[in-house]
Amino acid sequence: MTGAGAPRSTPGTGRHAWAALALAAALHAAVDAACGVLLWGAVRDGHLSAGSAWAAFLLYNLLAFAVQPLLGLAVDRGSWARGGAVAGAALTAAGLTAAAAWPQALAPAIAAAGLGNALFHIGGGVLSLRVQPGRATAPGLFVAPGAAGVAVGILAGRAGAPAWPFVAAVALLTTALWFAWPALGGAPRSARAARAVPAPRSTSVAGPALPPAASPRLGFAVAVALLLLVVALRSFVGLDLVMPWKSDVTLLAMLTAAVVLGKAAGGVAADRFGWRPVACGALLVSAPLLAVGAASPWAGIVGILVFNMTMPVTLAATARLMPGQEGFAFGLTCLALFCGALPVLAGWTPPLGAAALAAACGAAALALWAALAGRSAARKQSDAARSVHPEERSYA
Amino acid sequence: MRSWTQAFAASAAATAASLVLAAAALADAAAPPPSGGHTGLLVLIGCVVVAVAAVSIVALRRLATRRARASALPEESGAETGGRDGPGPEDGSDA
Repeated sequence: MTGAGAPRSTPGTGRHAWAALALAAALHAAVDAACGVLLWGAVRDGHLSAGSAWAAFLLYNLLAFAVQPLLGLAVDRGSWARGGAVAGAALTAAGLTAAAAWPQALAPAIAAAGLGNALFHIGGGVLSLRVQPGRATAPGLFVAPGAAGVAVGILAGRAGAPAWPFVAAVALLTTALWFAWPALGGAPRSARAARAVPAPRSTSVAGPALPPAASPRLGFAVAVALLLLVVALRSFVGLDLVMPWKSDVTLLAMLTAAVVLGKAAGGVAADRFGWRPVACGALLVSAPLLAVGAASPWAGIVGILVFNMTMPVTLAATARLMPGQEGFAFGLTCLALFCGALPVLAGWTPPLGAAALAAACGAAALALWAALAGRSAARKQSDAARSVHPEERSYA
Repeated sequence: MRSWTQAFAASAAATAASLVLAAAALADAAAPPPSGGHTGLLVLIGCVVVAVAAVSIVALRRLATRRARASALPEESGAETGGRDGPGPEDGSDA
């Protein structure tokens, strides 16, 4: 049996695979923290002026997010997920070390950190998507700690914390991840092997189903476009939110915890209760909470928690549409994140009002509902097929 | 195969170009912004995003073609090759 036809527990089998995932998640936080320390430390120490800091942040985000589809294509093509994750983390640590050693020459250090971050995200993202193929739990658990890492990095950089603890943390976790990766059972299925298996038919038991469309190609394009639209909308709304109470350190910590918890819990809840009800419901519930979030910290914190529950679903759904191309799928969602954030980062849009925020959340929920619509239809078809051919239950 | 090779070569070229451009812009960013602001930088970012998106669309077209070809295979063929990738997320949970 090929990897594609294996039961759910393979490729990443058992506790060891989850331990490797936990290491990757911790390393994700450390890598993001290292980047935050580099950038905000440079601002604090005056190596980046107010004007140039804006440009440096924008370019860092360009390298860290927008080029990820290209890196994902390369990683998928060569089955370099493990090497990509480790090399990316090492490159980030090298960038931070260089910035600490030669603060006058920040450009190469920031470029190294940005590219390293992108490469690590791709490698770690592939790992998370292969631990439990077709599930949202593992991707949510991998991505969630990144928000905590960013927050720690910003606070540490602003406070003038030294770089070495972050370099050491990244180095230690990278080494551990390198040795833990084989716990996946040799498993990360190569992209070539996955491509050798035809993509599932839309009526198969669990194939990556598509929204109803005139042709499979059109259905595929519509599903990908809708999912990426949801990611971009979520990024735009998340960045455009104005929450003046964030200056309170306690509330800021709670807000960060809400982001982490939302992403982690979103995948678990979606796998347990269904992707559409959880993801679309979360977007709808978050709309009124975020609309009043500027005035009410508690509504804002709960709203952010619920709002972030969608993330693992959009990521896992995109990856399911592209068997054997998990790196590319992960990169596409990051490109959509960047595109959604760009209008806000570039200062092109004023903060949205409450009604516009709610409308954006509603539009995202609608798009996600449509993108996942084919999945329920395929399931009903497969249920009907199994009732006609009971022997197919052995595949379930 | 040829289209994939082309997409990959284009992605490599776009990556290299984006790196060179971003490194140059980063070096430029170390200096105070000119009086005209960062319009050039935003144009550069736009170009990189468009280049990456273009390469991604080429790759997506190839994926779509592969999916369409696979879905056109006979039923038996799909069954024999294990035409599934593990139970779907809504299995046992979306009912």
